[in-house]
Amino acid sequence: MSSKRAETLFAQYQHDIHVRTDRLFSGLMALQWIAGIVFAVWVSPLAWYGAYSRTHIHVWAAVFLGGAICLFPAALGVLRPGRPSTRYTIAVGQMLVGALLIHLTGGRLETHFHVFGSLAFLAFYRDWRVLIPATIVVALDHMLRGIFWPQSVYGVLVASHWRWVEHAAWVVFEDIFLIVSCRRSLAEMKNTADRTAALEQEIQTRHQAEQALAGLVDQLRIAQRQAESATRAKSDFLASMSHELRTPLNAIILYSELLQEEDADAPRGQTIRALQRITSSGKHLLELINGVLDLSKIEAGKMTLSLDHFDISGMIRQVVDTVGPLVHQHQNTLSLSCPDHIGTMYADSMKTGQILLNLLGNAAKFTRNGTIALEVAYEGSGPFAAVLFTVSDTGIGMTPEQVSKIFEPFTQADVRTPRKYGGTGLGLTIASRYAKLMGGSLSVESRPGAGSRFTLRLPAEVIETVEEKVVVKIA
Amino acid sequence: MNPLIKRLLFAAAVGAWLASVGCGLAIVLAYENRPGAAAHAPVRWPAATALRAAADRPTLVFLAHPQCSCTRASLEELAQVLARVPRSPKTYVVFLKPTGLAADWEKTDLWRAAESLPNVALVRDDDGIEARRFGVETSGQTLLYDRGGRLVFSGGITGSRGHGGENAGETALISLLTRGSANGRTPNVYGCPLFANGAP
Repeated sequence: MSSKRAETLFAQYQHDIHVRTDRLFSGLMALQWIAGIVFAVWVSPLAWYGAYSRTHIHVWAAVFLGGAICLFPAALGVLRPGRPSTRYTIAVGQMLVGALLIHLTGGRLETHFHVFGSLAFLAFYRDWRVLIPATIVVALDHMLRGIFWPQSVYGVLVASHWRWVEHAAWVVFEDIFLIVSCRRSLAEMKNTADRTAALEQEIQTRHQAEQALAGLVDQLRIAQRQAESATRAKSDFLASMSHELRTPLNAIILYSELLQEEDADAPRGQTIRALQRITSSGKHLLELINGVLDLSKIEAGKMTLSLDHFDISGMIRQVVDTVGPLVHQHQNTLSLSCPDHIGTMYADSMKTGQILLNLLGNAAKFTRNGTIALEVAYEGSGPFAAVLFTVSDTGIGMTPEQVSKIFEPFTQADVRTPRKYGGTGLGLTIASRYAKLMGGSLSVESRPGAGSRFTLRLPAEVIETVEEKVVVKIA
Repeated sequence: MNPLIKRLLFAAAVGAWLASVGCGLAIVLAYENRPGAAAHAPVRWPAATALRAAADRPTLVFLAHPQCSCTRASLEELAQVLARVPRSPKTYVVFLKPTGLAADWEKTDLWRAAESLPNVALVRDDDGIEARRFGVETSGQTLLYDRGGRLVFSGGITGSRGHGGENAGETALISLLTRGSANGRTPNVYGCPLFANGAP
C-alpha cells in the first residue's frame, strides 16, 4: 500500500517537473526567437544595393526560420506539457537553435557554449533520455556541416571528416555528468516519495487508531449507559420483586392466620377458597424464585444441559397440552403445524419444552380473541441441520424499542406489564439463554398491534462443548 | 480520437516541422554561399585613379559599402591579413558614397573599424568613381597590385557571406604578401552590390 503510494507520488513529482520544465523551455524558446529577431535587426537590418536598401535576409530568417525552430516546441510545451514527445521535440528544437546560432556566427568557439548550456538546461527535466535526441542533433549537425561546409561549424576551411566525433565526444562527456546528476536527483526524489508515503501511512494509521479509540470510547459509553440502565432495571426489578414476594407471602400468612382463627366456625367453601389462594400465591412465589435461581445459575455458568435424543412430536404434544388451557382462556385458537414424521433431535428436551412453553404462554397472555400458531420445521442437513420452532400471535405486539430490550435480564416490554399481564419478566431472558446454551438462537419480529413472531433455532444435534463456550461468553 | 491516429498526426507535425526548418536552413545557406559579381579589375594599376600605388611594396585596395553588414567579416579578415604579413602593403580602404545621401552617411562602424587599422588609408569614393575605375561591383572586393603595378590578386577574403575565419582568399593573399606566389588568385567575393544595377 505504502509502496504503491510512493510510486504514485514519485510519478506525480516527475510529471510536475516535466510540466514545469516544458513551460520554462516554452518561455526560453520564445525568448530566443525574439532575441534572434532583435539581434538580426541590430546587426544586419538591411541589405544594400548601392544607395538602395531592403530588409536583410537575416531578419526574415530570424523571423521565419527562427520562428519555425522555436515556436513549434514552445507551443507543444504550452499545449501538451508533461508528455515525453513534447520534451524530446523541445530537446531537438533547442539544439537546432544552437546549430543555427553556430552557423550564423561562423562556428565561433564561444557560440558552442550554447550547446553545453542547452544540455544543462535539458537536464532540468531529470530525464536523462531527453539528452539522447539532443546529442544526436548536435552530432548530426557537426557531421553534415563538417563534411560539406566545415567553416560554418569549425571556423576553418578544411577539416577532417571525423572532427565531428571529437565534438560529439565532448558533448557525450558532458552528458555523462548530466546523466549521473539526473539519476541522483531521481534517487533523491524517490527517497522523498518513499518518506512522504510512509508519513502519510503513519498519519492514516494514527487517524484510524484514533477513530478506533473513539469508537471504543463510544462503545464504552454505551456499555456504561447500558450497565447503568441494567442497574436501574435491576433495582426496579428488585423493588418490584420485593413487592411481588411480599404480596403472596402476605396472602399466605394472612390466609393461614384466618384459617387458624376461623378454624371451626368457617363454612367449608370459604376454607377451600383460602387454601386455593395460598396454593396460587405459593406457586407464583415458587415460579419467581425458580426464575431468579435459573438466571443466577446461567449467569454464574453453572447451568448444565441434560442432552438426550427425544421425539420432537412427543415434546410438542406435551407442550401444547400444557399450554392449551391458557391459550383458550382468552378465546384464542392454537394452530399447530408440525410434520408427522419430523423425527428426533439431540438436545435438552426439558429446556426446549420450557422455552416453547414460555413463548406460547406469552403469546396467550398478550393475545385476545386471536390466533396463536406454532410451526415446527427441519432446516438444512448433516452437521448443520437445525430445528426451527416458530411461535406467532396476533396480539398487541411491541415497539422497536421494546423489541430491542426484550431479552435483557430484569427488563420487560412495559413496566406495567407484570401488573396487567402477570409474569416475572425473566421468562424470555431465560429462554434466550437456554437457546444459546444449546448452540441455538431466539429472535423476534414484532410491530405494535400486529402481533409478534418468535423464532427458536436449535441445532438438531446439540454439541456438549457448546455449553462451555456459552458459559464463557456469558461470563 | 484514435490514439494511433493521434500519434500519426503528431509524427506528421514533427516531420513537417523538421522539413520546414530544413528548407529554411537551405535558403539561408544558399544566400550565404551565393557570391557577388566578380570584379573586372584592370590587370595594371589604372592610370585614372586618384590613388597612388607604392613603388617599394605591393598596394592593396579594399572596396567596401559602408552600410553592408556582410563586409564586417571581410574587414576583420583584412585586419588578419595585415597582422599576419611581415611587411604590410600600402593599403587603401575605399568606401562608397553614392550621391544624394546624407553627410557622413559613410561614417559607420565599418569606417571606424577600418580607421583603427594601422597603416591604412581611408578613401571616400563619391558616387563609386574609384570602384568603377577598378572594375569592382561587390563590397569586400580586394585587389592586390605588386610593386610593378600588376594585378596579382582579385577576389574576396571571406569563405562566404558575412562569415569570418580561414578561407581561400585570405590564404592566397597572405601567401602572395609573404612568399610572392599563391594558388587561386580569384576567389569569390561575398558582399553587397556597390551599385543598384547589382540588385537581384
